[in-house]
Amino acid sequence: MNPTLIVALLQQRARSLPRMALVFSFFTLPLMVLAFARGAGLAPLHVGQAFAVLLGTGIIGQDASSGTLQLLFARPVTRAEYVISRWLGAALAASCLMVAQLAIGAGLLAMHHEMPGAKELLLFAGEQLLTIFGMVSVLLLFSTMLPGIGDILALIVAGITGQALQLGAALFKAPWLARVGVELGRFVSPSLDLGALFGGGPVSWFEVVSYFSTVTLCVALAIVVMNRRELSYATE
Amino acid sequence: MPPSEAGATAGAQGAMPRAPRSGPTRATPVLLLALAGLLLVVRVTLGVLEEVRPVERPDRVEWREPAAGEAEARAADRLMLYCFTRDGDPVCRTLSREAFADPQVAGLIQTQFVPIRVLDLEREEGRNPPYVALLEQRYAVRAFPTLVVVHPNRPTFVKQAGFTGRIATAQFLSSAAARILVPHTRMGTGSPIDSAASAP
Amino acid sequence: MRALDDVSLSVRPGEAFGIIGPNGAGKTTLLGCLLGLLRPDAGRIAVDGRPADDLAVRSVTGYLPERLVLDRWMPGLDFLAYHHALARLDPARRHDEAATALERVGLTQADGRQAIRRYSRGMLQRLGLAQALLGAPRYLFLDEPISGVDPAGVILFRKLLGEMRARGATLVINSHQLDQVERICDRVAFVRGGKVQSIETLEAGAAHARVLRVRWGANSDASALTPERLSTLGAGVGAALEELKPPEARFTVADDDGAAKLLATLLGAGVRVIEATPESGRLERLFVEPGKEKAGP
Repeated sequence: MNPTLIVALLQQRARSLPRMALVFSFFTLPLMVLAFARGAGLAPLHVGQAFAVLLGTGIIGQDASSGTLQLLFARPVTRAEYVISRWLGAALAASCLMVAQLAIGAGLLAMHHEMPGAKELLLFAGEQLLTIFGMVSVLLLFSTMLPGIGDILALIVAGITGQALQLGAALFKAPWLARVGVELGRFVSPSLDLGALFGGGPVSWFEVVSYFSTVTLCVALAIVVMNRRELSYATE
Repeated sequence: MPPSEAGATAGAQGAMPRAPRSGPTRATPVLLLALAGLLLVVRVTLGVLEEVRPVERPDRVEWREPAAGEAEARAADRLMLYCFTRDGDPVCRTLSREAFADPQVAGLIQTQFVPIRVLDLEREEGRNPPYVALLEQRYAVRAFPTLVVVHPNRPTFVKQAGFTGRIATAQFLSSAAARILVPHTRMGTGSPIDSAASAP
Repeated sequence: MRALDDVSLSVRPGEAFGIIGPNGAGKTTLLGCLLGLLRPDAGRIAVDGRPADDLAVRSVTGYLPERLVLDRWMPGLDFLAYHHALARLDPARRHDEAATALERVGLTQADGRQAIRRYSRGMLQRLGLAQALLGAPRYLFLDEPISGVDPAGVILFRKLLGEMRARGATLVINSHQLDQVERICDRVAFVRGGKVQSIETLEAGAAHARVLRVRWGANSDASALTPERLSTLGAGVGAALEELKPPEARFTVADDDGAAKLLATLLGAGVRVIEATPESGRLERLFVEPGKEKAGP
């Protein structure tokens, strides 16, 4: 982990007007829903994934496309360090936004006498954190392979493919197709149901392992892809 | 290139690096790859095992029959959530296990809607009961599961086919409720498959 | 097609080594390999006994790329501080050293507060050199270092590189500016078609045949200015008369020593030599393919 790279990522993201505008929207609109709607609970605040996407899109691909990596890797920085720092930077920034939004949202709910319990809040925050880190890891892998913000397009295509497979399973009566679709959806949108995990009911260890498998696989493969990448202006 | 001599390079030092390191810049993350590989193997193994013996989680939603649910919704002026489903369908099972067994999603459904389960029996019995066929025709249900949000006194409805994940399902339900109750509201639904149409 | 083919060379510690060649010769690819940014399909590259992409080598390397694609959103000073941090230099001295580096290359503190996207080509080049010089690296790789730089900047760059050399740094310079390469470098590799075709030594006295254009004044001894006499005078010191167009003649000489002897002989024979210049730079001839040499002006 390289703090210099993490800080540089955060500064880079903060200077992107379109990104910051979208982050602002996703931060404030759910809070406005909470302020005026009743009975919705914490449901409108399920936007951790959006923060992850907004801050994680193009996390490697934009640097690669812009041509700044050649100079960066002339410094004593390993490629693994770069990949992990970008991953951590985006995930931590999205997590901070989520926590801040949750804190404000809990305050609004408290004003409506709908304050969730501490356990519910912790479980919600924990799930969102896991979702954020998971989503950024998937974007990280796609971003090492695709230029610019191609990672978000790949994510959308993969997500649509997963759903199409599920629909196809229903139409063609092929349950295995549904399973493939569900697993693809689980891969591109990794999350963990902490409520079920700590709710006293049966634990699906498959889901727990699936989440951590996706995250480690994405980060490991991202490093491998980055290691194999040849960088020189002469190759462009 | 011959190794540099100390004398030749002694004058070349400016500010020294804080912590000189050595090693390749492209080191393979062996431990991480091993961990990822191990988790992948365990994942596949557990996936196969769970396919054989699925972990059952109780559905926390109190589903109504269509007639009773519609009457309740009309009397209370509340939104209805139809869940068109089929027994044994794996995606329907996943929806039930991952969304309806979730306390938050179940709580959202119980609070915002009158939940109505519509069980398709065409595969088992060759044809559906008339009220099921009518509902499927009304909302153009072609795949399972399909969620339809509609108000008993308004013509518009919003539907989503398939299972898009627990969080996306929760987002769909929230935004669908907003769209039906506040017609000018347009919010992200998290699903590219939903559609709003008028009931015939 | 091979970008590089059977390249084998070594650079001595403290040397300034130039790489020249026509477009598409493989110079930037060679530099990329020396920096460890590209891995060769075969062979080995070592810097001070270590692989080219070793962290220890990176710690003492400065690189100025040809294409200055810098982080455009950063102010110049922040950019230098960023690279100072990436180079793992002393954080306590970061701000001062970044500010000093900026001024060393002729940029002001006001320039340093501007975002890089507002920089002119020359300013970018100066900033690029400033980041390459951070930490007084032991090895400097410069790809077209004076591209887009004004004459004052060229003089400054030469001065800075001279200071680095005085400290014992090893320089590897890829440049199309042959006159600057001649002034800075000790040796030069000529690359064409992915191969190192020759390695030239640029030290004084090195054996290097060239055409010398000699011009004389109006009151020279006329008897010495006949073709026969000039040929004889030249032949006596190993030079060959190529062309005579009064008031100047072209001689081929074998090396610096031969040029000095020719001039001394002509002066001794009453030729009032007022100017003697090489017809082309030492390195230009490398770019002329055999059999296609053109006559002088």
